Amino acid sequence: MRGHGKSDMRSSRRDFLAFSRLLFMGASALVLCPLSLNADNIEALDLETIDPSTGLLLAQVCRLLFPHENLQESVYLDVVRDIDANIAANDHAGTLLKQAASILNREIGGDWINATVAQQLAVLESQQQSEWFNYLRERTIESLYRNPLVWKLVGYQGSSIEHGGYLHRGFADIDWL
Amino acid sequence: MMSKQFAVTDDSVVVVIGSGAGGGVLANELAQRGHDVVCLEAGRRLAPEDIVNNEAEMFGKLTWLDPRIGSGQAISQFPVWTCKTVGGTTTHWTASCPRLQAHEFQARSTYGKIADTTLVDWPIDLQELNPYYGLAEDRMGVTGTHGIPRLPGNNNYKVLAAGARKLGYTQVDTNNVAINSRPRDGRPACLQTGFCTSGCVVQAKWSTLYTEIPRAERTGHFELRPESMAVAIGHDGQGRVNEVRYLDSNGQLTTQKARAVCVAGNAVETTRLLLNSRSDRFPQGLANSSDQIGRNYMRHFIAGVVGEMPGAVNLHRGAHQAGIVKDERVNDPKRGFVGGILMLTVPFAPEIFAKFLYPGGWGKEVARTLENYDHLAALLLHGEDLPQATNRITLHAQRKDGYGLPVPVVHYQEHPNTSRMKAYALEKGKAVYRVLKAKKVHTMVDVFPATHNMGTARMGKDPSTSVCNSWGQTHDIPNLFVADGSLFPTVGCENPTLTIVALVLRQADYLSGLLNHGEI
Repeated sequence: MRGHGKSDMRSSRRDFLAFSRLLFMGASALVLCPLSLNADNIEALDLETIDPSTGLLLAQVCRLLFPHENLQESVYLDVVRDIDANIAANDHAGTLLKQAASILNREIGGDWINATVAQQLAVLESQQQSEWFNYLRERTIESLYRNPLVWKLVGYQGSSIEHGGYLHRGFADIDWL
Repeated sequence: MMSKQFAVTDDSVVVVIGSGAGGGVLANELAQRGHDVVCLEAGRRLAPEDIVNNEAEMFGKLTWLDPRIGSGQAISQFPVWTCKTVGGTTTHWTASCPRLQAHEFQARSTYGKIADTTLVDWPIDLQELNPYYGLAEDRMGVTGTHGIPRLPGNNNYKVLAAGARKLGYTQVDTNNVAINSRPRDGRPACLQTGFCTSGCVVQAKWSTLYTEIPRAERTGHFELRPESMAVAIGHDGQGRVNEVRYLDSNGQLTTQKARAVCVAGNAVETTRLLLNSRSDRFPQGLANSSDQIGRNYMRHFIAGVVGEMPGAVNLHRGAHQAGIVKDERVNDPKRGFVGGILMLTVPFAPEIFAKFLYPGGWGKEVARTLENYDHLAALLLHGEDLPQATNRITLHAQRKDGYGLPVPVVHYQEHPNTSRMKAYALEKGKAVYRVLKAKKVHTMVDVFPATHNMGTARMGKDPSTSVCNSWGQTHDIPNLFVADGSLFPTVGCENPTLTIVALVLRQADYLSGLLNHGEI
């Protein structure tokens, strides 16, 4: 579905990059870069309900909710695609999304997507009790943390039966106790 | 072999509602003794290939997803996590099988009078149940019993054991689990896949889906009807139950005649079915002259403790609850509460940590913790919950579910004893990881739906304060039985399934005797 073979190689490289960055900078020094995606990337998703500018805004919201520096940004596009599929079957969710976009833009007094990351975060913080925010948080979690690319990044190994479980693959290999 | 099929007009059959730990075992036991049984199961029957190592996918396949309403401290949209599938919660359970302790059968005598509870003693004691515990453990292949070796401990267990021992705990082992540590009973040994709660692909974990149910079918005395949702139980002019009305797999309302009916739907569905079976004679529902159906609803308090450890743990590898610390399960009122606590290993997938490690949380710190997933160790605490008449499952006055049945409302408020116990347990749980120099310790409190649901049709000697006698036979109607955790007068701190199986094996002895002697 998501081209596992190729991405495995890419993500092990990312793991390495993540590791070295942590090693040299320390986790607290990580600063989230601005989103490098644009509306064309969203257009290419061929979404059913979400328009490209809302899609781009959502990608950035999801990324700020669970910012994994060393994750390719296309994973956040997968989240937008999953949200699109979810609202196709759920009118209320569609309303929540429209609210999200209009409130974020209103609060920033322009295009939220063009604001600095610090400004974007400040607006999100002011909205974290709202229904739309919680809807997006839940949708993001259920898409992001079911994505094998994210599993790979965090070290969750997913299905094990095809490898004979962990009986001979490290279920009791702890060495630091 | 095609399994037996019974006519809906056949009034000689015993109808068992539910195919999990209670219903599946009871139905098989009756069929083995030559009694004809029709088992109605609301869920569908999964084939071995339907069970995969994917939590989200299996959640969708196993879980009871029809609406339920939580009120008070119960989670509002999803107050309980039960299963709707052939095998019931035995597909999803962790197979943790500690017995209840002797004093937990005498909760009222041991703990004394406690305000705002309906605390009672069980009508039977441990000695009475011990032979059935033995039968249940043998049947389910429980490790550490009947000469069955315990499972080897996984990484998450080794962390728990090391921390616990440093704190001075001594009752630490890989638990008694109904998971094969070596091939037994036609099922293979555990491969430590790490997906106990998603249905065991290996079938090393005992589940009625592939043990009791097929065995019952081979007797020629048993018919399973999956996707059959019981909506009401009917009775004759003498007030004896004589039929079960259910919606079949096509949504067609069907009536199965019955000689006796045993309800094993897990506390919420058992309550709903009995309350929904109203008639002129029984306007409050069946077996409810005491007004106790749905009351005294208990669950264990369940809380998680998660340590960010100095080295890798990979807690997702291996059997979920093959790790236990039992030192705190004693009753020691000097701790500030009555009742005991268990500490058990538990793994979670990244999605669950994302949802609950920081409830409502988001941002850099949350993402950082999740990226540290392979360094997380986790344990689950559960402790005894006390019965309260006001903790109660009722039916919503207006809301209906997809079957047209009233939606159950689960109301739960924690007793102060439970609050004190929980605070104590969390400190002990955190200490386990702190003593091993965890960089950070998190707790997950009041975020999980209840998986152990008990007490809503409790056994007792007094028909005015209980629903069933010690055999699970309702006081009001001699041929109506309850065969699940609803029977528990109090709940101890142990996982309930083993005790449910022991109780229904005892019930099967009694019911079989009544059937043989033509008494029902």
